[in-house]
Amino acid sequence: MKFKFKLIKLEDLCGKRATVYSVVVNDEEQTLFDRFINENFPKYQKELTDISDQIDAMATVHGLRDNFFKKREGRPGDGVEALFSKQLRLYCMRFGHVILILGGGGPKNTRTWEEDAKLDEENRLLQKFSSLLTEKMRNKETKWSLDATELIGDLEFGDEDLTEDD
Amino acid sequence: MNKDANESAKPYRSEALDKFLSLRTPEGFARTKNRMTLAVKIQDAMVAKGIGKKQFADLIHQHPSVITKWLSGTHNFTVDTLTDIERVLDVQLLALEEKTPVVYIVHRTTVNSELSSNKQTFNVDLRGLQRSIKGELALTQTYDPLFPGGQAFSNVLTQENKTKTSRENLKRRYA
Repeated sequence: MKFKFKLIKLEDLCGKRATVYSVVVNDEEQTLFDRFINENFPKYQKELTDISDQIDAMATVHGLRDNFFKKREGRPGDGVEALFSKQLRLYCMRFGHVILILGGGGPKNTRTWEEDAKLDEENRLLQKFSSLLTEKMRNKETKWSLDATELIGDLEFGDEDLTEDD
Repeated sequence: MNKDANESAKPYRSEALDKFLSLRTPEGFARTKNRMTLAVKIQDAMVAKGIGKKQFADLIHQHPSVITKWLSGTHNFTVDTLTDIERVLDVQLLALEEKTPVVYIVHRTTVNSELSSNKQTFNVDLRGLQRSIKGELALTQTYDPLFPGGQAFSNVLTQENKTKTSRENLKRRYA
């Protein structure tokens, strides 16, 4: 299956310490993060609130410190990490210390994410996006703004950049 | 395709995002912020001491996975755990020894000279004094007017050094 991604800035989650984005896949009406909220509200309302507070605290006070993110939530080197509250996982990526890109996620009820079909799908989607964005930045088609607080340039990644095996 | 080299991502709003933002409360955010602050202080202390997670875990008799949880910013610490961490990392996480300054604020009033001979109880604004006097202040509630036709001050005690500042000193200092 081929994918098309568009990077969307979430102004209301941004702060002086971080700029927060999500991703629209294949011209859907909602971002991956919107879908995450809708899929997990109201059953995981407490966990969603915790994650909301975490993002706010990072964006406004603490920055995107390494230890706030769960590692090994994707293939080695693809940059996929997770924010979490109890068993709820939100997959995300960081670029530098100021860019946070929110994907999808869900409750983790298995020992590893690969064993959960939903988490596996969300993880692999963000892995695809991650590898493509990294390529775009390497080619300087997507780059940092002058003040190094946001991404500019080519923020839509066409499906011709992907193969079915990516 | 967005090919403008300098164009940034377009701002976005959604119902889901509004719902997400509405979940937050000031008290919930304060708790989360404090947990994350503790995690930051602990990690910074580990870096300052030049010890990693494994070594810290050994020193505090915990599994490294516990340290990972402590540093995640999601852990709700007990006082005992914070006390142990303080000892091992030589960092202050609990501020229990600090004195909490107690300042009583009352309103200033002007006493005219006809009343100056009488002892009266009234309120005096010491905001001007607070800017100059550091430490803890305590006010007596009953005091005499000081200046003929002028303003009155209380006797002021500084609890740090237990000295009593006389009205005359106050006159010299703040009149």
